[in-house]
Amino acid sequence: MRRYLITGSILVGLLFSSNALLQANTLQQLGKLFGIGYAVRAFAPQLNHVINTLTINHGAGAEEATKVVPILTVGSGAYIGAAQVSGPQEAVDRVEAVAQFEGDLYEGALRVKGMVPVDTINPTEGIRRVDGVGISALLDVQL
Amino acid sequence: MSAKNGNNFKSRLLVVLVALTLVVSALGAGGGLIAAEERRIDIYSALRAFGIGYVVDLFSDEINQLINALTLRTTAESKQATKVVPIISAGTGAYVGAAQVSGAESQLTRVRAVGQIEGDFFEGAIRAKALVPIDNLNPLEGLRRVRGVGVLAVIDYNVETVVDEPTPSPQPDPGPQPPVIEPPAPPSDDWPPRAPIRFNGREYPALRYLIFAEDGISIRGNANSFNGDLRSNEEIEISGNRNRVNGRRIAGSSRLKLPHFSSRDWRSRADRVYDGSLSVRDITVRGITFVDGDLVVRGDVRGEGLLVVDGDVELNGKRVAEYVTIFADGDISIRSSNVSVRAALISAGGSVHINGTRIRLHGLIAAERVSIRGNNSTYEYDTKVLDD
Repeated sequence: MRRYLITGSILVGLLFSSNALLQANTLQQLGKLFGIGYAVRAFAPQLNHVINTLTINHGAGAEEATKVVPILTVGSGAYIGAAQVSGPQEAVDRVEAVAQFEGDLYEGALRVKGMVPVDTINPTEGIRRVDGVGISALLDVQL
Repeated sequence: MSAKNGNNFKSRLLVVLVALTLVVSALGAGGGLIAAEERRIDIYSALRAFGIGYVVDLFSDEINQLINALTLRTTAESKQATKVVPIISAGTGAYVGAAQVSGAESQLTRVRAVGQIEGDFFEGAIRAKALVPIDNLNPLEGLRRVRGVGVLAVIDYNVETVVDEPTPSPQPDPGPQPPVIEPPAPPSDDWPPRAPIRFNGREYPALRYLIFAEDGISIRGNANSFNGDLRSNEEIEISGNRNRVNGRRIAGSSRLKLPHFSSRDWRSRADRVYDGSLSVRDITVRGITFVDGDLVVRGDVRGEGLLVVDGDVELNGKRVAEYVTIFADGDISIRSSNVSVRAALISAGGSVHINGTRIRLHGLIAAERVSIRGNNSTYEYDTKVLDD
C-alpha cells in the first residue's frame, strides 16, 4: 500500500508538466497502472477545463458549477469512463461519481445508458442520487 | 435502524417494487407482450425509414417512463421533471441519438434537443462529447443553451440489427401518420444470396459470416468496426462505446456447423509436416502445412496456403499472414496490438481469442466461441483468404 502511495505520488507529480503529450502518456499510464477511476480523479481539473473551453468556443459555455467524475457501472462497480456534471455548486460538490445503468428497450432497437450522479464511488453500497445535477459531457479515455 | 441501513433497505425495496411493476405491466392492462412486440416492430420500421428524430417525437413519453424505471427514479425522490429529446450533432446537424434531460419544469419545456459537441484532447487520449440542452432543432444556427437543465440518459439505436422474427401483420393507421414501412424479411441461411463458400471441397454456410460461433460471440471494447455479418448459434454480446456492426447480427437462429477436423486426413495431404509442438520466430506457409501439436509464432506468418494445427495456435507478431487459412483443432489466440491480419481463423474444436488494440483483420473468424477484447480495431469480411 505504501509502495503504491509513493509510486502514485511520484506519478501525480508528473501531472503538472506543461507538455500535453506527456500529460496524455501519463494519464494513460496511470489508467493502466491504477485504473481509469484513479486517472480520472487525478486529471479531473484539467479535463473539466478542456471541456468548458470546448463549449465556450462554441458559444455555449455553462454558467453553473461543473466538475469531472468517473463513471462506474451499477452492479460491478467497475470504472468505465468519465463524465462532466453540472448544477448548483453545493450539489456538484457532493457528486463523487456517475452510476451508469444500461438497458435495452424494444427488444434491442434502442439502447439506453441511464446516468445518475451519486455521492459515493461504491454503488454496491446503495445508490444515493444527488438531485439537481445533470451530465454535461461524456469522456472516453483511451488506455 | 441506522440511516445507512435505512437507505440500503429503501434502495432494495425500490428495486423490488420497480421489478414487480415491470412484470405486471408486461402481463397486464398495457396489452402485454404482444403489444410490446408490435411496438418494437413499429419502432424498428420507423428508425429505418425516418430516423431517431421521428421515433423520439412519437414515443418520447413512453421512452421517458421506461428510462425512469431503469434508473429507479420516482417523483417522490426528485422535484425535477424529465423528458426525452433528440441529440443533434453541432458539427453536422445530423440526428445522432436521443437523451433524457432533467430540470425545473419551466426550463424543461424550452428544451427541444441536445446539441453534441465533440473534441479530442491530450493527443487523442481523451475523446469528449459535450451535451448541451438547447431550445432549437438546428444547432448549426447557434447553440442556445437552456440553463438549469442536464442530461440523465443517452439513447442509442442500431438500425442494422436484425433479429429473427415472424413477418409482422400490418399496423392500423392511427390517423394522419406517414405510411407504415414493412421491416425486411427475416434472414435465412440463403439470405442475401451469395456465392457458396467452400473449404476442403465442401460448402460451409458457417463461413459466410465475418464472425461465426457455435456457442457465443463476446466483444468488449471501444471504437471497433465490424464490416460483415455476425452469427452465433447462441448469444452475441457486444459491450463498450462506439462499436459499429456494418452488417447483420444473427443470434440463436438455425444451428450451423463448423468444418470437421481430421488429423489423419490433413497429415496425409500436407506438403510439409511438423511432428510435435512448434515455437518459431516466423513461419512461411506454402500449400498445406501441418503441425501435429501446438504452434506459437513470435513473429510473422507469411505466404499463402493452409496452416493446419492439431492443437492450439498462438500468434504474437505484428503481421499475421497474407491470405492464409489457419485451421486448428484447439484455440487460436492473437494477443498483440497494431497487428495486420489477412486470414481465415477457423477453430474446429476451440475458441478464437483476440486481445489487442488497432488490429486490422481481413478475412473471417469461425469457432466454437469467439472472444474479442480491445479498442480501435477493424474487422472486414473477405473470402479471398480461404484456401480450397
